[in-house]
Amino acid sequence: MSPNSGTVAPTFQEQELSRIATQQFQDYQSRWLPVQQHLNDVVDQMGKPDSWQRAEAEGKGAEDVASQFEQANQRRTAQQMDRGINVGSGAFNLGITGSAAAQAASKGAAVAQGNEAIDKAYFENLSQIAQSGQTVANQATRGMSVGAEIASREAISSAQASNATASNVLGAAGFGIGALSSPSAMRQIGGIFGGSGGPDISTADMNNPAIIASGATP
Amino acid sequence: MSLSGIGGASGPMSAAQQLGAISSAQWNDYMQTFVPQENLLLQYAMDPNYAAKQMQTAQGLQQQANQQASGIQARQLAQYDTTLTPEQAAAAKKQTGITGALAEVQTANQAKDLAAQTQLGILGAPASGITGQL
Repeated sequence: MSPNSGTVAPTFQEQELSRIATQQFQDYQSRWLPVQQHLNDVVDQMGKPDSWQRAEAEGKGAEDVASQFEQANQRRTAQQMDRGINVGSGAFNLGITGSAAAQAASKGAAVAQGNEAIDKAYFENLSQIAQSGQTVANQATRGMSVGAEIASREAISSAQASNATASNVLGAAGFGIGALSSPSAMRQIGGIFGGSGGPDISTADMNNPAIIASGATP
Repeated sequence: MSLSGIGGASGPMSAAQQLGAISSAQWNDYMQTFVPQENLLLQYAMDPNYAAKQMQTAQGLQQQANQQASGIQARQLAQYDTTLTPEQAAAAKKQTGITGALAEVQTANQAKDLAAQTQLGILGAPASGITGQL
């Protein structure tokens, strides 16, 4: 449809809506879309098994556990000394081995939790991106809906104008819709095409050279 | 998508055409920028092996840590200039094995629960009652 095909032009609000929507979209494309794409890249990278975020989270877990056990070991040793448990004794040595096993177990749990925390953050970010995507998709369909509504109104207006023109032409020739439905209209049609209200012409007459030459009715 | 057609050489667009062009461009952006991320999310949500993979990863990390137990132990013993007797070493080995095995199971279970929660979270509101079905 050409811009001016409808007899009803877009309203001022519709024109402004499309102008502002265009500017808003161009602004989104120039400023926010690159940021969005960057975020997508960062999140994709984050989700990878060897991402730096994952390594950092796992390392922090291991570091935290080591620090906690270091302090706990110092406290345990001091308590053992107070209780007369000497270095090198069975109780002392088994205290160390128990602590080492517990530290390793805690470290594993902390590292796994760090890994899982990154997975969780990754999915939360993906969900946020998906939500933003839904907003964009909804905007697209809403915009399309508004555009279609305007186009539809223009098309209806155009069709009405076209119908009115056709109707006027037909009306001038006596074929208006209202006229067609009346008995007089039927007679009028018959008067032209050989209906009951006018003279009859048979196919045989149409082939009669004399009648055709004279222009007379039989 | 380019909106160069607006007011371009082909003449100005009508309001409806302009909105249609923007909507098409927005939809293309959605398809190119967001749909791949959505698909990733859905892929994770519907992956029947996701929990098993997460368990395997967690178990691997725990095993790595468990293997460091003897190193931690050796350093601490060296710190106090002491060594284990054969009996103490055997007891320590047994203790380390039991602790490590328990830790592996616990870490893997934790990973499985978290994986199920994550999948449910993606699919919608988490429902603890159906966690075990995933």
